[in-house]
Amino acid sequence: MKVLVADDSGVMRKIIIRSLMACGVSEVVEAADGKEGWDAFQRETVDLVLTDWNMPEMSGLEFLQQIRGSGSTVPVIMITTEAEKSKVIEAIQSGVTDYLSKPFEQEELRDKLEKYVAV
Amino acid sequence: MITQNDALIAAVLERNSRTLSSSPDSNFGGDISVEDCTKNFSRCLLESTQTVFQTMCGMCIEPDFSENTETQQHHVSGIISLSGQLKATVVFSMHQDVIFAAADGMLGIKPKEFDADIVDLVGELSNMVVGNAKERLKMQGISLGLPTVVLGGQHRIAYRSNMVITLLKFTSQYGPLVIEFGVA
Repeated sequence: MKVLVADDSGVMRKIIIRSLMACGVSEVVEAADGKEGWDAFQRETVDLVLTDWNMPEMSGLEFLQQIRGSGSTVPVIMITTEAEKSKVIEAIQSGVTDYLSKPFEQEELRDKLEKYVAV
Repeated sequence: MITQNDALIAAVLERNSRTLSSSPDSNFGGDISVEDCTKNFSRCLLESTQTVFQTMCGMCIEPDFSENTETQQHHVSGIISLSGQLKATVVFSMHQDVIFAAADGMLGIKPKEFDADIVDLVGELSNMVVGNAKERLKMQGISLGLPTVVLGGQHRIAYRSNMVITLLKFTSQYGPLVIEFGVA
């Protein structure tokens, strides 16, 4: 299983990757913003996408819209500080598969990942 | 009929409201004074700082209501601007031992100096603290800027002379944390 992680914070990518490793995922593609994420998505075949919302160059929402616009149904989980109702609805209506607002406990992230990670 | 999207929206909103449940209703709406805004935002920042450090790093951070107002110098600061319905600048500063302990709690690493991970961590924690405070305010139409991090040598944050600055102090077993913010 290959997972694409897009977040402009290297630390947040590390936290997410640690949880992915704990779930048995060893193949991870990293992207520092939505544009890098979209480039990687077109280049690689991934089974799951985890993305932040607020990133330079291309936001996580735009990245999600690009993925869905391409016809892909790959699961996409948004992990973001955005917790406003209107934002949650916007992301879900744009095709996000799941949504986790920061801050979160590491077990909460792990529980969520386990739903999508089939090792 | 409840669709899959409706069920997901309900689940996410229920989880978010649970994590903000300690916050009393701050939805003061309508035209508000800078004073009221400052008071409410202070309370939200006090709560969000404790929540973020406890949840993400397993660290207990307590507000420090002592009268000590001497100028603070810091090892590291994260700066975030808010725009829209609330225009403010928030500066989140701390002793190096606090951020090193946070790195241990979040990443399981024991840094000895400032590196790229520490810069990212300060930015991420600042973003989470201010983002969580914004949610507690329950005001629509506020946007967060991307965080900027200032590192090193006992620096001091200076502000424009016409800005009223609010100082929120915290203590932890690893050292002090300070949040300063100005509302325009």
